[in-house]
Amino acid sequence: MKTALTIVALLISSFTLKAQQMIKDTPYHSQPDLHRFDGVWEYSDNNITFRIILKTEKVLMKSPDVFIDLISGYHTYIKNNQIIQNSVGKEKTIKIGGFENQSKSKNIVSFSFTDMERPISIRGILELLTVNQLKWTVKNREGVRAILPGVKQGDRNIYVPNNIILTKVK
Amino acid sequence: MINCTVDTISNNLCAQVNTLASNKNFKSLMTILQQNTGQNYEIGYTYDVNADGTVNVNHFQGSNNSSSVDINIPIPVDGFTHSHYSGDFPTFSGADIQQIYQIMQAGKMKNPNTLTLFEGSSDFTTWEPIINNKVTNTNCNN
Repeated sequence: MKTALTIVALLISSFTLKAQQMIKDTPYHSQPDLHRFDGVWEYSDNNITFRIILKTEKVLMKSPDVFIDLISGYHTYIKNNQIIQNSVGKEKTIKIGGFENQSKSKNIVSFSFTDMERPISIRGILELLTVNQLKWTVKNREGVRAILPGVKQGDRNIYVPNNIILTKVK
Repeated sequence: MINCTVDTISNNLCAQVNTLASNKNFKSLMTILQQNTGQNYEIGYTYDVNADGTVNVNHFQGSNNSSSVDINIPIPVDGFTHSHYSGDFPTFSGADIQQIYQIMQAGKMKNPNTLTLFEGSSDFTTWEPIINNKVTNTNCNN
């Protein structure tokens, strides 16, 4: 029994070491400038509050394996004191945020956004205007759309505020 | 003329593209497409190449300030093409590729083995994908 336990312990130890070695060998594409987007950003007027929470995280991409920094997060949309959309504490609605074209600018990030009132994600763009101001834009994805007989077209409406300037609140 | 040296798939693709590239009617179509890249709207065409070399074309234009164009495909076509909105990446978008699948599923592709699909962008890059496994593509959402 003692021998069997020893073998199991050795096997677990071996797998753990191997996993640690694989992680150590995996390249890491760090993007420190993305951290400037991290934080809680908010737009507010008499009727609307729109808040996003952003965080840069180290994510493992597969084939080939590489760690990369990407922005993800959540949003809350309140209109006339009613919560219209809120993903905080649920599934992330801002995903795979990375520089749009970092050779041109490290102030513009594009990401995939889940507008919770439509089934298919849309494209979002964040533009850092100052250290405390962020422009939020969302739009339908680029591309040709075939109008086919009997095929229902997807919803193209956008149900969250658009083209707004958010201020960093935290 | 495109130089083809790689394999059967590439040679077949190049033969298709070269047939179109030497068709003056199709070349005119591509010239119009290139001239319309970088606008604040997109244009698209569906086309059929007839046995006598003439090309039947249907023209579509997207809305201003929209990086998308709707193309109506009521009957099967040989191929389709579109320009890209000003500033967009000079490659097919995910939505463009998804349309290949949807058109095939709807039975509106005359021949998946000879489908041509071009995209024109402001840097004059033109791309043409090929379906090398129709079965996989047809079942790709299973």
